[in-house]
Amino acid sequence: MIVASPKSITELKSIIEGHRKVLFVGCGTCVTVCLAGGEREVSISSYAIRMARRLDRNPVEILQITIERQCDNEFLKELAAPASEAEAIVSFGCGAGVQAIAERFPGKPVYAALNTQFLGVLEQQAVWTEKCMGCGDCMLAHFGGICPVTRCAKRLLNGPCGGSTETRCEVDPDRPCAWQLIYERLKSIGQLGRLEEVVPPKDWSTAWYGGARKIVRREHQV
Amino acid sequence: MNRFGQSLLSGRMITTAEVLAPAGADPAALRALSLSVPSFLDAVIVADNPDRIRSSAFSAAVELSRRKAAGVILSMTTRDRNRLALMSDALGAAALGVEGILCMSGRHGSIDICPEAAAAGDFDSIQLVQAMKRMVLDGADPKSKKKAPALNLQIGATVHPYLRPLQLNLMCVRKKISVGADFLVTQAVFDTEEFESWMAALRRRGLDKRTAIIASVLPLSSGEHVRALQRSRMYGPIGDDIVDRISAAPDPAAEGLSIAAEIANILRGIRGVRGIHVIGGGCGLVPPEMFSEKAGWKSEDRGSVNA
Ligand code: SF4
Ligand code: SF4
Repeated sequence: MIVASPKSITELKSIIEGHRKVLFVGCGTCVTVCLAGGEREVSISSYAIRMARRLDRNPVEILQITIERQCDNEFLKELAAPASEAEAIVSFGCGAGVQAIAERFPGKPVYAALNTQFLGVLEQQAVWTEKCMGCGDCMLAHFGGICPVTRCAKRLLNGPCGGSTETRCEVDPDRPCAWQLIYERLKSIGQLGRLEEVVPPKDWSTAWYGGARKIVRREHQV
Repeated sequence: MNRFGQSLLSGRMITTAEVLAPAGADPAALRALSLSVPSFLDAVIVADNPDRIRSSAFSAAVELSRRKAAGVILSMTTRDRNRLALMSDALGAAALGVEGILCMSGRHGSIDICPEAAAAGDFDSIQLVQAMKRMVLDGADPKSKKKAPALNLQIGATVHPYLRPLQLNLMCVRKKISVGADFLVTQAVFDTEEFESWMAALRRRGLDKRTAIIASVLPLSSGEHVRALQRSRMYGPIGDDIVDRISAAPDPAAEGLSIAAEIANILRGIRGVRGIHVIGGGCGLVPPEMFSEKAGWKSEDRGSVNA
Protein backbone atom coordinates (compact mmCIF):
# COMPACT_ATOMS: atom_id res chain seq x y z
CA MET A 1 0.00 0.00 0.00
CA ILE A 2 0.88 3.68 -0.18
CA VAL A 3 2.18 4.83 3.18
CA ALA A 4 1.88 8.45 4.27
CA SER A 5 2.24 10.43 7.46
CA PRO A 6 0.31 13.50 8.61
CA LYS A 7 1.75 16.98 8.33
CA SER A 8 1.97 18.78 11.68
CA ILE A 9 -1.05 20.74 12.79
CA THR A 10 1.15 23.87 12.74
CA GLU A 11 2.02 23.37 9.08
CA LEU A 12 -1.53 22.50 8.09
CA LYS A 13 -2.83 25.52 9.95
CA SER A 14 -0.46 27.84 8.12
CA ILE A 15 -1.35 26.29 4.75
CA ILE A 16 -5.05 27.18 5.15
CA GLU A 17 -4.52 30.39 7.10
CA GLY A 18 -6.36 32.64 4.64
CA HIS A 19 -9.52 30.52 4.34
CA ARG A 20 -12.65 30.70 6.48
CA LYS A 21 -14.58 27.67 5.26
CA VAL A 22 -12.66 24.56 4.28
CA LEU A 23 -13.58 21.00 3.28
CA PHE A 24 -11.39 18.24 4.79
CA VAL A 25 -11.52 15.06 2.68
CA GLY A 26 -10.35 11.70 4.03
CA CYS A 27 -9.59 8.65 1.90
CA GLY A 28 -10.85 5.21 2.86
CA THR A 29 -8.10 3.12 1.26
CA CYS A 30 -4.29 3.07 1.86
CA VAL A 31 -4.08 6.10 4.14
CA THR A 32 -6.87 4.82 6.34
CA VAL A 33 -4.98 1.56 6.83
CA CYS A 34 -1.75 3.40 7.64
CA LEU A 35 -3.57 5.63 10.14
CA ALA A 36 -2.75 8.89 8.36
CA GLY A 37 -5.77 10.12 6.42
CA GLY A 38 -8.94 8.18 7.21
CA GLU A 39 -12.15 9.35 8.86
CA ARG A 40 -10.60 9.27 12.32
CA GLU A 41 -7.55 11.40 11.38
CA VAL A 42 -9.74 13.91 9.50
CA SER A 43 -11.89 14.33 12.57
CA ILE A 44 -8.93 14.75 14.96
CA SER A 45 -7.21 17.29 12.68
CA SER A 46 -10.43 19.26 12.17
CA TYR A 47 -10.89 19.55 15.90
CA ALA A 48 -7.30 20.64 16.49
CA ILE A 49 -7.33 23.24 13.70
CA ARG A 50 -10.69 24.62 14.81
CA MET A 51 -9.40 25.01 18.38
CA ALA A 52 -6.17 26.65 17.25
CA ARG A 53 -7.99 29.10 15.01
CA ARG A 54 -10.41 29.98 17.78
CA LEU A 55 -7.48 30.76 20.08
CA ASP A 56 -6.08 32.98 17.31
CA ARG A 57 -9.46 34.78 17.16
CA ASN A 58 -9.67 33.79 13.52
CA PRO A 59 -12.31 31.02 13.53
CA VAL A 60 -12.66 28.61 10.64
CA GLU A 61 -15.56 26.40 9.60
CA ILE A 62 -14.48 22.91 8.61
CA LEU A 63 -16.69 20.45 6.71
CA GLN A 64 -15.65 16.79 6.80
CA ILE A 65 -16.17 13.87 4.48
CA THR A 66 -14.30 10.62 3.84
CA ILE A 67 -14.70 8.88 0.49
CA GLU A 68 -13.74 5.36 -0.55
CA ARG A 69 -10.83 6.28 -2.86
CA GLN A 70 -9.64 9.75 -3.89
CA CYS A 71 -7.64 8.39 -6.82
CA ASP A 72 -10.79 7.10 -8.51
CA ASN A 73 -13.02 9.55 -10.34
CA GLU A 74 -16.06 7.42 -9.58
CA PHE A 75 -15.88 8.29 -5.87
CA LEU A 76 -14.96 11.97 -6.39
CA LYS A 77 -18.53 12.65 -7.53
CA GLU A 78 -19.56 12.59 -3.87
CA LEU A 79 -17.47 15.71 -3.27
CA ALA A 80 -19.41 17.97 -5.65
CA ALA A 81 -21.99 19.22 -3.16
CA PRO A 82 -19.76 19.84 -0.09
CA ALA A 83 -17.00 21.29 -2.30
CA SER A 84 -19.35 23.89 -3.70
CA GLU A 85 -19.91 25.22 -0.16
CA ALA A 86 -16.21 25.51 0.75
CA GLU A 87 -13.56 28.07 -0.22
CA ALA A 88 -10.85 25.43 -0.32
CA ILE A 89 -10.30 21.68 0.00
CA VAL A 90 -7.74 19.86 2.14
CA SER A 91 -7.11 16.32 0.94
CA PHE A 92 -6.02 13.64 3.41
CA GLY A 93 -5.27 11.31 0.50
CA CYS A 94 -1.86 10.47 -0.92
CA GLY A 95 -0.26 12.82 -3.45
CA ALA A 96 -2.26 11.14 -6.22
CA GLY A 97 -5.53 11.73 -4.38
CA VAL A 98 -4.75 15.42 -3.83
CA GLN A 99 -4.02 15.90 -7.53
CA ALA A 100 -7.09 13.96 -8.63
CA ILE A 101 -9.28 16.28 -6.55
CA ALA A 102 -7.48 19.37 -7.89
CA GLU A 103 -8.14 18.22 -11.46
CA ARG A 104 -11.77 17.60 -10.67
CA PHE A 105 -12.29 21.08 -9.14
CA PRO A 106 -10.38 23.49 -11.39
CA GLY A 107 -11.50 26.69 -9.68
CA LYS A 108 -10.85 25.60 -6.13
CA PRO A 109 -7.61 25.66 -4.07
CA VAL A 110 -6.70 22.09 -3.01
CA TYR A 111 -4.02 21.39 -0.39
CA ALA A 112 -2.26 18.26 0.90
CA ALA A 113 -2.61 17.34 4.58
CA LEU A 114 -0.18 14.40 4.39
CA ASN A 115 3.41 13.76 3.42
CA THR A 116 3.21 10.80 1.06
CA GLN A 117 6.14 8.53 1.79
CA PHE A 118 6.41 5.20 0.02
CA LEU A 119 5.04 1.86 -1.17
CA GLY A 120 5.39 -0.39 1.80
CA VAL A 121 4.04 -2.85 4.30
CA LEU A 122 2.93 -2.86 7.91
CA GLU A 123 5.93 -4.45 9.63
CA GLN A 124 4.48 -4.53 13.14
CA GLN A 125 1.87 -2.45 14.93
CA ALA A 126 2.32 1.20 13.87
CA VAL A 127 5.60 0.47 12.00
CA TRP A 128 5.70 0.64 8.21
CA THR A 129 8.67 -0.04 5.95
CA GLU A 130 9.38 0.77 2.33
CA LYS A 131 9.61 -2.11 -0.13
CA CYS A 132 9.20 -0.83 -3.70
CA MET A 133 10.03 2.31 -5.69
CA GLY A 134 7.87 1.38 -8.66
CA CYS A 135 10.82 1.22 -11.07
CA GLY A 136 8.68 -0.17 -13.87
CA ASP A 137 10.84 -3.23 -14.58
CA CYS A 138 10.69 -5.56 -11.60
CA MET A 139 13.92 -7.43 -10.91
CA LEU A 140 12.83 -9.28 -7.76
CA ALA A 141 13.41 -12.67 -9.41
CA HIS A 142 17.19 -12.04 -9.35
CA PHE A 143 17.26 -11.20 -5.68
CA GLY A 144 15.17 -13.80 -3.95
CA GLY A 145 12.24 -11.40 -3.69
CA ILE A 146 14.11 -8.65 -1.81
CA CYS A 147 14.45 -5.38 -3.69
CA PRO A 148 17.92 -3.80 -3.64
CA VAL A 149 16.70 -0.94 -5.85
CA THR A 150 14.58 0.22 -2.93
CA ARG A 151 16.11 -1.35 0.15
CA CYS A 152 19.85 -0.93 -0.45
CA ALA A 153 20.60 2.69 0.45
CA LYS A 154 23.14 2.84 -2.40
CA ARG A 155 20.95 0.94 -4.86
CA LEU A 156 23.69 -1.65 -5.46
CA LEU A 157 22.62 -4.50 -7.75
CA ASN A 158 25.72 -6.67 -7.50
CA GLY A 159 26.45 -7.13 -3.83
CA PRO A 160 26.96 -5.21 -0.60
CA CYS A 161 29.11 -2.14 0.00
CA GLY A 162 32.00 -2.07 2.45
CA GLY A 163 29.85 -0.63 5.21
CA SER A 164 27.56 -3.67 5.34
CA THR A 165 27.45 -5.75 8.50
CA GLU A 166 25.46 -8.85 9.33
CA THR A 167 23.19 -6.78 11.53
CA ARG A 168 22.83 -3.39 9.90
CA CYS A 169 23.11 -1.05 6.94
CA GLU A 170 25.96 1.48 6.92
CA VAL A 171 23.44 4.30 6.78
CA ASP A 172 21.11 3.44 9.65
CA PRO A 173 21.56 1.24 12.73
CA ASP A 174 17.83 0.45 12.67
CA ARG A 175 17.81 -0.92 9.16
CA PRO A 176 19.10 -4.30 8.03
CA CYS A 177 21.50 -4.38 5.06
CA ALA A 178 19.41 -5.44 2.06
CA TRP A 179 22.32 -7.49 0.71
CA GLN A 180 22.63 -9.54 3.87
CA LEU A 181 18.89 -10.26 3.58
CA ILE A 182 19.27 -11.18 -0.10
CA TYR A 183 22.17 -13.50 0.73
CA GLU A 184 20.21 -15.29 3.49
CA ARG A 185 17.12 -15.54 1.35
CA LEU A 186 18.93 -16.93 -1.71
CA LYS A 187 20.66 -19.42 0.56
CA SER A 188 17.37 -20.55 2.04
CA ILE A 189 15.74 -21.09 -1.36
CA GLY A 190 18.78 -22.85 -2.83
CA GLN A 191 19.61 -20.08 -5.33
CA LEU A 192 22.97 -18.79 -4.06
CA GLY A 193 24.30 -19.28 -7.60
CA ARG A 194 22.43 -16.15 -8.60
CA LEU A 195 24.94 -14.13 -6.60
CA GLU A 196 27.62 -14.89 -9.17
CA GLU A 197 25.67 -13.35 -12.06
CA VAL A 198 26.82 -9.85 -12.94
CA VAL A 199 23.64 -7.79 -13.09
CA PRO A 200 24.06 -5.27 -15.95
CA PRO A 201 23.34 -1.56 -15.46
CA LYS A 202 19.63 -1.09 -14.96
CA ASP A 203 17.63 0.49 -17.76
CA TRP A 204 16.01 3.34 -15.87
CA SER A 205 13.90 4.43 -18.83
CA THR A 206 10.97 2.49 -17.36
CA ALA A 207 11.32 4.38 -14.07
CA TRP A 208 10.42 7.95 -13.21
CA TYR A 209 13.51 9.50 -14.80
CA GLY A 210 11.77 10.02 -18.14
CA GLY A 211 9.09 12.05 -16.39
CA ALA A 212 5.65 11.01 -15.14
CA ARG A 213 4.57 7.67 -16.61
CA LYS A 214 1.30 6.61 -18.19
CA ILE A 215 -0.14 3.14 -18.74
CA VAL A 216 -2.69 2.46 -21.46
CA ARG A 217 -4.10 -1.09 -21.60
CA ARG A 218 -6.17 -1.27 -24.72
CA GLU A 219 -7.60 -4.68 -23.91
CA HIS A 220 -9.44 -3.13 -20.99
CA GLN A 221 -10.73 -0.09 -22.87
CA VAL A 222 -14.37 -0.18 -23.97
CA MET B 1 50.81 0.82 -21.32
CA ASN B 2 51.11 3.65 -18.78
CA ARG B 3 53.55 3.70 -15.86
CA PHE B 4 51.07 2.51 -13.29
CA GLY B 5 50.10 -0.40 -15.54
CA GLN B 6 53.76 -1.33 -15.81
CA SER B 7 54.13 -1.13 -12.03
CA LEU B 8 51.17 -3.48 -11.64
CA LEU B 9 52.72 -5.93 -14.09
CA SER B 10 56.23 -5.69 -12.66
CA GLY B 11 55.42 -8.02 -9.80
CA ARG B 12 57.37 -5.89 -7.30
CA MET B 13 55.76 -4.40 -4.21
CA ILE B 14 54.19 -1.07 -5.12
CA THR B 15 53.35 1.94 -2.97
CA THR B 16 50.47 4.35 -3.45
CA ALA B 17 49.04 7.14 -1.32
CA GLU B 18 45.70 8.86 -1.07
CA VAL B 19 45.32 12.51 -2.02
CA LEU B 20 42.45 14.71 -0.89
CA ALA B 21 41.73 17.74 -3.05
CA PRO B 22 41.61 21.05 -1.13
CA ALA B 23 38.20 22.18 0.08
CA GLY B 24 38.45 25.65 -1.45
CA ALA B 25 39.25 27.18 -4.83
CA ASP B 26 42.75 28.40 -3.99
CA PRO B 27 45.01 27.51 -6.93
CA ALA B 28 48.05 27.74 -4.65
CA ALA B 29 46.68 24.94 -2.42
CA LEU B 30 46.26 22.64 -5.41
CA ARG B 31 49.74 23.47 -6.66
CA ALA B 32 51.30 22.94 -3.24
CA LEU B 33 49.60 19.56 -3.01
CA SER B 34 50.96 18.47 -6.36
CA LEU B 35 54.47 19.60 -5.43
CA SER B 36 54.42 17.63 -2.19
CA VAL B 37 54.02 14.20 -3.80
CA PRO B 38 57.09 12.07 -2.99
CA SER B 39 58.74 10.85 -6.18
CA PHE B 40 59.08 7.24 -5.01
CA LEU B 41 55.33 6.64 -5.03
CA ASP B 42 54.04 4.50 -7.87
CA ALA B 43 50.78 6.40 -7.84
CA VAL B 44 48.55 8.69 -5.89
CA ILE B 45 44.84 7.95 -5.64
CA VAL B 46 42.71 11.10 -5.60
CA ALA B 47 39.64 10.62 -3.38
CA ASP B 48 36.20 11.69 -4.64
CA ASN B 49 34.55 13.90 -2.00
CA PRO B 50 34.91 11.25 0.72
CA ASP B 51 33.98 13.54 3.58
CA ARG B 52 32.64 16.87 2.28
CA ILE B 53 32.35 18.96 -0.86
CA ARG B 54 35.89 19.57 -2.06
CA SER B 55 37.45 20.99 -5.15
CA SER B 56 36.80 18.25 -7.70
CA ALA B 57 38.89 15.10 -7.67
CA PHE B 58 39.00 15.36 -11.46
CA SER B 59 40.71 18.76 -11.42
CA ALA B 60 43.18 17.67 -8.74
CA ALA B 61 43.98 14.51 -10.71
CA VAL B 62 44.64 16.51 -13.86
CA GLU B 63 46.85 19.01 -12.02
CA LEU B 64 48.81 16.17 -10.41
CA SER B 65 49.20 14.41 -13.78
CA ARG B 66 50.59 17.59 -15.29
CA ARG B 67 53.35 17.63 -12.65
CA LYS B 68 54.15 13.97 -13.39
CA ALA B 69 55.39 13.35 -9.84
CA ALA B 70 53.69 9.95 -9.74
CA GLY B 71 51.04 8.06 -11.65
CA VAL B 72 47.59 9.45 -10.90
CA ILE B 73 44.51 7.38 -10.22
CA LEU B 74 41.15 9.10 -10.07
CA SER B 75 38.54 7.71 -7.67
CA MET B 76 34.99 7.87 -8.92
CA THR B 77 31.93 7.15 -6.84
CA THR B 78 28.61 6.08 -8.30
CA ARG B 79 27.04 8.25 -5.62
CA ASP B 80 27.46 11.60 -7.32
CA ARG B 81 27.53 10.83 -11.03
CA ASN B 82 25.28 9.02 -13.43
CA ARG B 83 26.67 7.01 -16.33
CA LEU B 84 26.94 10.05 -18.61
CA ALA B 85 29.12 11.91 -16.14
CA LEU B 86 31.18 8.85 -15.15
CA MET B 87 32.01 7.88 -18.70
CA SER B 88 32.72 11.40 -19.95
CA ASP B 89 34.94 12.19 -16.95
CA ALA B 90 36.88 8.97 -17.56
CA LEU B 91 37.42 9.91 -21.21
CA GLY B 92 38.63 13.38 -20.27
CA ALA B 93 40.82 12.03 -17.51
CA ALA B 94 42.44 9.50 -19.86
CA ALA B 95 43.06 12.22 -22.45
CA LEU B 96 44.75 14.42 -19.84
CA GLY B 97 47.17 11.81 -18.54
CA VAL B 98 45.35 10.18 -15.61
CA GLU B 99 46.52 6.56 -15.45
CA GLY B 100 43.75 4.77 -13.63
CA ILE B 101 40.22 4.91 -12.31
CA LEU B 102 39.26 3.51 -8.91
CA CYS B 103 35.57 2.59 -9.04
CA MET B 104 33.54 2.67 -5.86
CA SER B 105 30.04 3.19 -4.56
CA GLY B 106 31.33 5.78 -2.07
CA ARG B 107 30.37 6.50 1.49
CA HIS B 108 26.69 7.30 1.66
CA GLY B 109 26.00 11.02 1.39
CA SER B 110 23.64 10.97 4.36
CA ILE B 111 26.53 10.19 6.72
CA ASP B 112 27.88 13.65 7.54
CA ILE B 113 28.59 14.54 3.91
CA CYS B 114 25.48 16.12 2.41
CA PRO B 115 22.25 14.53 3.72
CA GLU B 116 20.06 16.80 1.56
CA ALA B 117 21.59 15.70 -1.76
CA ALA B 118 19.89 13.26 -4.13
CA ALA B 119 22.24 10.39 -4.92
CA ALA B 120 22.84 9.35 -8.52
CA GLY B 121 22.90 5.56 -7.96
CA ASP B 122 22.68 4.90 -11.70
CA PHE B 123 25.54 2.38 -11.86
CA ASP B 124 26.93 0.34 -9.00
CA SER B 125 30.69 -0.06 -8.60
CA ILE B 126 30.81 -3.42 -10.40
CA GLN B 127 28.85 -2.05 -13.33
CA LEU B 128 31.24 0.91 -13.36
CA VAL B 129 34.29 -1.37 -13.53
CA GLN B 130 32.63 -3.27 -16.36
CA ALA B 131 31.78 -0.08 -18.30
CA MET B 132 35.30 1.30 -17.83
CA LYS B 133 36.93 -1.95 -18.92
CA ARG B 134 34.77 -1.98 -22.04
CA MET B 135 36.00 1.51 -22.91
CA VAL B 136 39.58 0.41 -22.27
CA LEU B 137 39.30 -2.69 -24.42
CA ASP B 138 36.85 -1.67 -27.14
CA GLY B 139 37.41 2.06 -27.41
CA ALA B 140 35.54 5.07 -26.25
CA ASP B 141 32.34 4.61 -28.17
CA PRO B 142 31.07 1.02 -28.09
CA LYS B 143 28.06 2.00 -30.20
CA SER B 144 30.15 3.36 -33.05
CA LYS B 145 31.00 1.00 -35.95
CA LYS B 146 34.34 2.74 -36.40
CA LYS B 147 36.85 1.31 -33.96
CA ALA B 148 37.75 4.17 -31.63
CA PRO B 149 41.16 4.13 -29.97
CA ALA B 150 41.18 2.18 -26.72
CA LEU B 151 41.77 4.04 -23.47
CA ASN B 152 45.05 3.79 -21.63
CA LEU B 153 43.62 3.36 -18.13
CA GLN B 154 44.07 0.85 -15.33
CA ILE B 155 40.74 0.06 -13.71
CA GLY B 156 40.47 -0.76 -10.02
CA ALA B 157 37.84 -1.33 -7.36
CA THR B 158 37.71 -1.51 -3.58
CA VAL B 159 37.41 -4.68 -1.50
CA HIS B 160 36.60 -5.16 2.17
CA PRO B 161 38.53 -7.86 4.03
CA TYR B 162 36.27 -7.65 7.08
CA LEU B 163 32.93 -7.92 5.29
CA ARG B 164 31.11 -11.04 6.48
CA PRO B 165 29.80 -13.64 5.77
CA LEU B 166 32.93 -14.74 3.93
CA GLN B 167 30.95 -16.37 1.13
CA LEU B 168 29.30 -13.02 0.33
CA ASN B 169 32.66 -11.27 0.60
CA LEU B 170 34.32 -13.67 -1.85
CA MET B 171 31.41 -13.29 -4.25
CA CYS B 172 32.10 -9.54 -4.38
CA VAL B 173 35.82 -10.08 -4.98
CA ARG B 174 35.14 -12.68 -7.70
CA LYS B 175 32.68 -10.39 -9.45
CA LYS B 176 35.08 -7.45 -9.43
CA ILE B 177 37.78 -9.67 -10.92
CA SER B 178 35.42 -11.23 -13.45
CA VAL B 179 34.48 -7.83 -14.88
CA GLY B 180 38.18 -7.07 -15.28
CA ALA B 181 39.50 -5.12 -12.27
CA ASP B 182 43.26 -4.68 -12.79
CA PHE B 183 43.77 -3.88 -9.12
CA LEU B 184 41.77 -4.07 -5.89
CA VAL B 185 42.41 -1.68 -3.02
CA THR B 186 41.35 -2.83 0.44
CA GLN B 187 39.83 -0.73 3.19
CA ALA B 188 42.35 0.22 5.92
CA VAL B 189 43.78 -2.77 7.75
CA PHE B 190 44.27 -2.69 11.51
CA ASP B 191 43.59 -6.34 12.35
CA THR B 192 46.29 -8.18 10.41
CA GLU B 193 45.31 -11.69 11.59
CA GLU B 194 41.82 -11.37 10.21
CA PHE B 195 43.27 -9.85 7.05
CA GLU B 196 45.59 -12.82 6.63
CA SER B 197 42.72 -15.26 6.96
CA TRP B 198 40.84 -13.35 4.23
CA MET B 199 43.94 -13.38 1.99
CA ALA B 200 44.29 -17.12 2.60
CA ALA B 201 40.72 -17.59 1.39
CA LEU B 202 41.55 -15.58 -1.73
CA ARG B 203 44.75 -17.58 -2.33
CA ARG B 204 42.96 -20.91 -1.99
CA ARG B 205 40.73 -19.82 -4.87
CA GLY B 206 43.62 -18.40 -6.91
CA LEU B 207 42.05 -14.92 -6.81
CA ASP B 208 45.32 -13.21 -5.83
CA LYS B 209 46.82 -14.33 -9.14
CA ARG B 210 44.08 -12.75 -11.23
CA THR B 211 44.43 -9.15 -10.02
CA ALA B 212 46.76 -7.00 -7.90
CA ILE B 213 45.64 -6.75 -4.27
CA ILE B 214 46.79 -3.49 -2.71
CA ALA B 215 46.35 -3.42 1.07
CA SER B 216 45.69 -0.10 2.79
CA VAL B 217 47.09 1.34 5.98
CA LEU B 218 45.92 4.48 7.73
CA PRO B 219 48.09 6.44 10.16
CA LEU B 220 45.97 7.29 13.19
CA SER B 221 46.54 10.75 14.59
CA SER B 222 44.86 10.76 18.02
CA GLY B 223 42.51 8.95 20.35
CA GLU B 224 39.67 11.06 18.98
CA HIS B 225 40.60 10.00 15.44
CA VAL B 226 40.39 6.33 16.50
CA ARG B 227 36.98 6.83 18.07
CA ALA B 228 35.69 8.68 14.98
CA LEU B 229 36.83 5.81 12.75
CA GLN B 230 35.25 3.24 15.05
CA ARG B 231 31.98 5.16 14.94
CA SER B 232 32.07 5.55 11.16
CA ARG B 233 32.52 1.76 10.63
CA MET B 234 34.34 2.58 7.41
CA TYR B 235 37.20 0.28 8.24
CA GLY B 236 37.65 -3.02 9.96
CA PRO B 237 37.98 -3.46 13.70
CA ILE B 238 40.66 -1.43 15.50
CA GLY B 239 42.01 -3.55 18.35
CA ASP B 240 42.43 -2.44 21.96
CA ASP B 241 46.22 -2.80 21.70
CA ILE B 242 46.26 -0.08 19.03
CA VAL B 243 43.84 2.14 20.93
CA ASP B 244 45.99 1.80 24.07
CA ARG B 245 49.20 2.64 22.22
CA ILE B 246 47.72 5.78 20.66
CA SER B 247 46.14 6.92 23.93
CA ALA B 248 49.34 6.39 25.96
CA ALA B 249 51.76 7.92 23.45
CA PRO B 250 53.30 11.33 24.24
CA ASP B 251 53.09 12.12 20.52
CA PRO B 252 50.02 10.23 19.25
CA ALA B 253 50.50 11.26 15.61
CA ALA B 254 54.08 9.91 15.55
CA GLU B 255 52.86 6.73 17.21
CA GLY B 256 50.14 6.48 14.55
CA LEU B 257 52.77 6.66 11.82
CA SER B 258 54.85 3.93 13.51
CA ILE B 259 51.81 1.66 13.88
CA ALA B 260 50.91 2.17 10.21
CA ALA B 261 54.48 1.38 9.16
CA GLU B 262 54.47 -1.78 11.32
CA ILE B 263 51.17 -2.91 9.79
CA ALA B 264 52.56 -2.16 6.30
CA ASN B 265 55.57 -4.37 7.08
CA ILE B 266 53.34 -7.24 8.17
CA LEU B 267 51.13 -6.83 5.10
CA ARG B 268 54.12 -6.88 2.74
CA GLY B 269 55.01 -10.28 4.17
CA ILE B 270 51.58 -11.76 3.40
CA ARG B 271 51.53 -13.82 0.24
CA GLY B 272 49.34 -12.30 -2.46
CA VAL B 273 49.68 -8.68 -1.29
CA ARG B 274 51.07 -6.71 -4.23
CA GLY B 275 51.24 -3.26 -2.79
CA ILE B 276 50.57 -0.88 0.06
CA HIS B 277 48.23 2.07 -0.15
CA VAL B 278 48.51 4.76 2.50
CA ILE B 279 45.26 6.52 3.32
CA GLY B 280 45.65 10.11 4.49
CA GLY B 281 42.90 9.97 7.07
CA GLY B 282 41.71 13.50 6.31
CA CYS B 283 45.02 15.17 5.33
CA GLY B 284 45.63 16.50 1.83
CA LEU B 285 48.41 13.98 1.49
CA VAL B 286 49.90 11.56 3.98
CA PRO B 287 52.58 13.43 5.93
CA PRO B 288 56.02 12.72 4.37
CA GLU B 289 57.27 11.45 7.78
CA MET B 290 55.04 8.44 7.11
CA PHE B 291 57.64 7.16 4.73
CA SER B 292 60.67 7.93 6.89
CA GLU B 293 62.95 5.27 8.28
CA LYS B 294 62.21 6.64 11.75
CA ALA B 295 58.60 5.57 11.28
CA GLY B 296 59.84 2.09 10.40
CA TRP B 297 59.50 2.43 6.62
CA LYS B 298 62.55 0.77 5.08
CA SER B 299 64.02 2.47 2.05
CA GLU B 300 63.69 -0.69 -0.04
CA ASP B 301 59.94 -0.59 0.60
CA ARG B 302 59.59 2.74 -1.08
CA GLY B 303 58.72 1.36 -4.46
CA SER B 304 60.02 2.29 -7.88
CA VAL B 305 63.09 4.26 -6.80
CA ASN B 306 64.60 1.09 -5.40
CA ALA B 307 63.03 -1.34 -7.82
S1 SF4 C 1 12.60 -4.05 -8.72
FE1 SF4 C 1 11.37 -2.20 -9.15
S2 SF4 C 1 9.25 -2.90 -9.24
FE2 SF4 C 1 10.43 -4.56 -8.30
S3 SF4 C 1 10.23 -4.22 -6.09
FE3 SF4 C 1 12.08 -3.15 -6.75
S4 SF4 C 1 11.47 -1.06 -7.25
FE4 SF4 C 1 9.60 -2.31 -7.11
S1 SF4 D 1 25.03 -1.53 4.03
FE1 SF4 D 1 23.87 -2.87 2.65
S2 SF4 D 1 21.90 -1.87 2.32
FE2 SF4 D 1 23.26 -0.36 3.26
S3 SF4 D 1 24.13 0.73 1.50
FE3 SF4 D 1 25.57 -0.91 1.97
S4 SF4 D 1 24.96 -2.66 0.72
FE4 SF4 D 1 23.26 -1.18 0.68
